[in-house]
Amino acid sequence: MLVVRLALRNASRNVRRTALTALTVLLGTMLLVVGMSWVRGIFGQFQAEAARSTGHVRVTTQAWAEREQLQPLYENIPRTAPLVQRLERVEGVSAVHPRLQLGVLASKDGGELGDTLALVVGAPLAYHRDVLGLPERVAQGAWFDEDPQVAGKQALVGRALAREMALSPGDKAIFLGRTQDGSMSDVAFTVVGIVDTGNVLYDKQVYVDLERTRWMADIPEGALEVLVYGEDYQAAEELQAQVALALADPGLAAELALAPDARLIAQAWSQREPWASALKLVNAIVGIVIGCIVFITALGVLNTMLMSVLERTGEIGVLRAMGLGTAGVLALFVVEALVISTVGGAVGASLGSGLAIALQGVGVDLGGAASNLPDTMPVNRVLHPLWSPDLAVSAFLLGLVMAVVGSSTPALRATRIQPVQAMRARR
Amino acid sequence: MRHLLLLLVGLLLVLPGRALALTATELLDAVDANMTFDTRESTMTMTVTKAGRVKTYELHSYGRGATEGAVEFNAPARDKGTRMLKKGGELWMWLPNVEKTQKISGHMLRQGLMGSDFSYEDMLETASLKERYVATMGSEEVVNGRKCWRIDMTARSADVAYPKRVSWIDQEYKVPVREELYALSGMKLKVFTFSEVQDFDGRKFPTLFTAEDQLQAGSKTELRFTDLKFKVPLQEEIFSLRWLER
Repeated sequence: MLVVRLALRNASRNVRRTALTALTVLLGTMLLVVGMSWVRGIFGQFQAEAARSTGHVRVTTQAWAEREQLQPLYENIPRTAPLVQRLERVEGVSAVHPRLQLGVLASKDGGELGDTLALVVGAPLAYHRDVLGLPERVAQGAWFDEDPQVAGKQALVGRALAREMALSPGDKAIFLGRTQDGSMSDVAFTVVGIVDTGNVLYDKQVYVDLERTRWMADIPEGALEVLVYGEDYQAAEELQAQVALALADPGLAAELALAPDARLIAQAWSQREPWASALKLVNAIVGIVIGCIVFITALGVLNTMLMSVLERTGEIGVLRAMGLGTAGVLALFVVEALVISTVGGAVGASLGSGLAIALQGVGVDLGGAASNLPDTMPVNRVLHPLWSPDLAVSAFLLGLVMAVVGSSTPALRATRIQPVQAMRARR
Repeated sequence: MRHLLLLLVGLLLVLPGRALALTATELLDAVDANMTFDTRESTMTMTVTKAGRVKTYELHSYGRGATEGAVEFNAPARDKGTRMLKKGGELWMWLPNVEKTQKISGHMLRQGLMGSDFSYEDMLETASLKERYVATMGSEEVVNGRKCWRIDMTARSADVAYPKRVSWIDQEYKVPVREELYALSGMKLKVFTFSEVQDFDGRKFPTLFTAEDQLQAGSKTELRFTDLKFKVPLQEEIFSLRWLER
């Protein structure tokens, strides 16, 4: 108790130095809260979008998954209806949507075909509506017609692609794709609406009814992917295990008219590239960033605490002569640093939280730079940090860690001071 | 005296060879005489093999000189009615489902025609080899059982689809037996082989073309001429957009 009282007194002895230590911890803690809320916001958005657009769990043929970049349409699931029915019965599954995406050459009616590439996303309208939330994103025009016959010939076009092709609602767009055999496949759609999804990837795509892309690819009853959704995308790997069990039925291959050598696989979004690698990379980056902040802040604490030790050499000598042990000297400095860091950390975490919450409401618009991002990344045009109380608490606790780490070396140095040497130093 | 004799023997050995040997340019002239035409009408089957899947197309084509050509697909049913027209350096296509004529350009020209190993660009390039390439004579080699001359060609201009081309020319028929097509980097892009040479009023012409895209393993296309006529009168209308949209 005496040590605590002494530590508290020491903290108030040199106000300027104490303030400097507290400020170091304050900045470090604040930086941690803001930085971590940005990482959580940006990467969390990537994850959520990836899981949303490509399914919490995705079922494909193994051959297709292995060569997805080349889009081998012939590696499809020839009949998806029985698979969808089965997966809908799996525990924890809330929705199942077959999807058939096709890379096409696109042209406005009357234009040339050759240089405008587009991705046509063919899926049941329920996928476009419930999963992608496109009805709320229609910036011009309207949602699909209620008559399925009419809706089948309509397309929603992403804002960026519509701008590139100079398309407006009511225009006719021509797409030239391929069948699964490689034959040419031409189709015209009436642009029913332009969607502004706020996402770089989605704004470059075309959204149509699944039946139309089935016709284009000449896969009358099938699809390339069957997307499975559960309640929480973070629990996708548990759902994947359930889905994989459902796929293990030996009778399923015949029901789906799969080729004899074809095999279905289920992958959670976090198990697929680029997310599997990205998750590891982000975790590593987060670790390095936290480590750097902790190290720099601890260095600041170490610096000021070392000054304290040097200033109080004589005083420490007297205390040691009066019987204060090594543990007591150690505790004296660590507790002093903890006291200062508690104040600095609390203020830093509060200020950081305030800043993160303010930025969360406003966001940062990437503007034109967004169009230079890779087409494969579902990045939102406006990025937001994501703050939560646990971030502030974690940063505050890390502030205390910084204090302990930063003060440990000066404290150890103080324990090595001998009373006689200290008296001689007269300090 | 001995030197004079040696010189005579040398001349006897070298001169006949020099007199008989073709230059690369002369050889290209001979190949062009067989492979280019004023007019041509043909019926073909195109068999595309990709990843173990085989698809066969039937098509009818017309050609006039190096700059005009027209193709119509007659089978399979899904592709029936697809027509293409090459006019000058442009390619136009009738899309039967959309019922529109579209000009094809840019990226599309490098795509495989109906998923085959022949690109639209390959279709467009029917100008003579001599016009497109500078050739150097290579060695004599036996390719596919035929005695050939190898010639190495470099494109005269940057707009030629394949900057480097190596051809093995049949010494007897003066038609290519094999061609290897390279990118500027030296990467082998495609291999064409030509066989089943037939005589058409003195013109030698291979009636089976095969193409293998070197960037796609297991990909192969066979183009077989089932009916082929040269110097046929062709209606002017065939080489017009009206023919595409008829």
